[in-house]
Amino acid sequence: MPEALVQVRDLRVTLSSAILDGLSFEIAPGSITGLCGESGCGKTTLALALLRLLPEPYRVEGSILLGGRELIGSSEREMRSIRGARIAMIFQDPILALNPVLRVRDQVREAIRAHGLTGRPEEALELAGLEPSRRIMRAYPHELSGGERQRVLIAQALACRPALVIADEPFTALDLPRVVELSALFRDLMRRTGTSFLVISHSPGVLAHLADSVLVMRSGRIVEQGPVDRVFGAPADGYTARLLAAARATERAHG
Amino acid sequence: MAEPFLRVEGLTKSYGARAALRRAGFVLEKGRMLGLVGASGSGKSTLARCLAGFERPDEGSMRLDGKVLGGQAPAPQVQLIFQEAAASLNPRFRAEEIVSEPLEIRRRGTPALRRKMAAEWLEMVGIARAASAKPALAFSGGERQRLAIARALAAEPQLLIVDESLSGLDVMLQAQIAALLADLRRRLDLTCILISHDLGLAARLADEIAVMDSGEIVEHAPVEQAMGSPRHPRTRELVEANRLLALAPEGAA
Repeated sequence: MPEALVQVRDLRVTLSSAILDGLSFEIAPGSITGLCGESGCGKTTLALALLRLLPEPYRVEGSILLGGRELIGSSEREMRSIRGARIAMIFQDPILALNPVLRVRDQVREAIRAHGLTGRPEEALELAGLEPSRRIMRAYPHELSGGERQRVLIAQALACRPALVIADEPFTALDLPRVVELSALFRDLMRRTGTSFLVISHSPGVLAHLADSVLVMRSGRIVEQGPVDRVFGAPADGYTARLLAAARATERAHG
Repeated sequence: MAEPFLRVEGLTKSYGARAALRRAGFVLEKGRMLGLVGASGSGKSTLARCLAGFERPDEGSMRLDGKVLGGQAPAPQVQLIFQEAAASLNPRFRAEEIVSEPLEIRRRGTPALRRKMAAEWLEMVGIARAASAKPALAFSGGERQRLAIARALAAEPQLLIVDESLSGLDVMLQAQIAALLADLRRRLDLTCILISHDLGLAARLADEIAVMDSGEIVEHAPVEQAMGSPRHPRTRELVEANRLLALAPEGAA
């Protein structure tokens, strides 16, 4: 068993009451972990907690080891060297996450420079599966399609070759063929760069297609975790079974 | 041959140089549900907005139950439920006010009767009588979807259009609202267009599927046929992606 890239132990996030209530899980290097659960169950809070982006008065306790290094209690300065460089995040809405007045080239260049690196924006875009044509490089975010915007964000996230990329509902606004393409891109990037992905999605079907392992959350707790085939194929927890039943009730695969 | 309940022919609409609809046409019989699918920007919402009278097509015709649609004002016989149900409700209106407003506009009954009818519509969509005095703001996302459905139904539409209203919801809520729509269709014999970028969801709920691409309807067939033997490349691409993203049947680990 290779050593975990991320090892979370008894993670608690409290505001006036517990938002995350004792989460423990590991993320293996070069793997894709899916995180699913209903709206409001704490998926995004967990992502922000891993990046230590929850401000006062949130109380964050427990242990988050990244490559053996403890993030809980790290200074803001130490965290700044980790965010982007070691853990990058792709936010839900690409149009909100991109700067509307910067062209794609400058947008990606800024992400590279912000971390003191010297790579070319073209390379980062190619890695994200976006041909760095003149049209793309000179485009403002509003001039791109939804799928193209998503790839600019991925290019920025990958610019520093992070060990972990957290993607928060990256598929929500996409047409199904684009979901399949983006899933293939994540798997391809994982193989080529060794980057691990933590992908948040409320859709078990997408995670079954994409992920190696899965965490199922409910009301701030992980109710079940394990290899995706096992958890979705033979759920041990009643809540996982209900989530899968709901997903099956809203899909039809064949004629 | 009898005239179909809804006939859309040669619908064309451009915004400046960009053509949103290119001679889109289809027919739909009474009591049927059409799943209208396609990528974002393919023209689905423009078509819905033309049918509901929020946009005027540049060319083409729309007939519903023998009457021409497409005048200046929004057509009350076509009700459109938007994607952002929460944003389409006045947050300060109480639930019963939201639902009785279409009745008031159409001058149906006395205020007391309208309140009674609103309460019945709310019950129909699964909102408890006790909650009818709460403001829209106090309801959850899923409940606001139910409110928007109740308001649309209170207008007693001949055609109900549901525009991506389920796509922002998590699977638990999606399943609940999908079950509600299926139940309402059975009880009220609704004629319905469900717009979605999710072919699997549309195929689950609808009787027939129409696929839009670049402002055209490129394939229109019963669900079994569209899913089982898709003809157009766009449909084939959607069917294949949908198959990859669907869960394996229960117990097939």
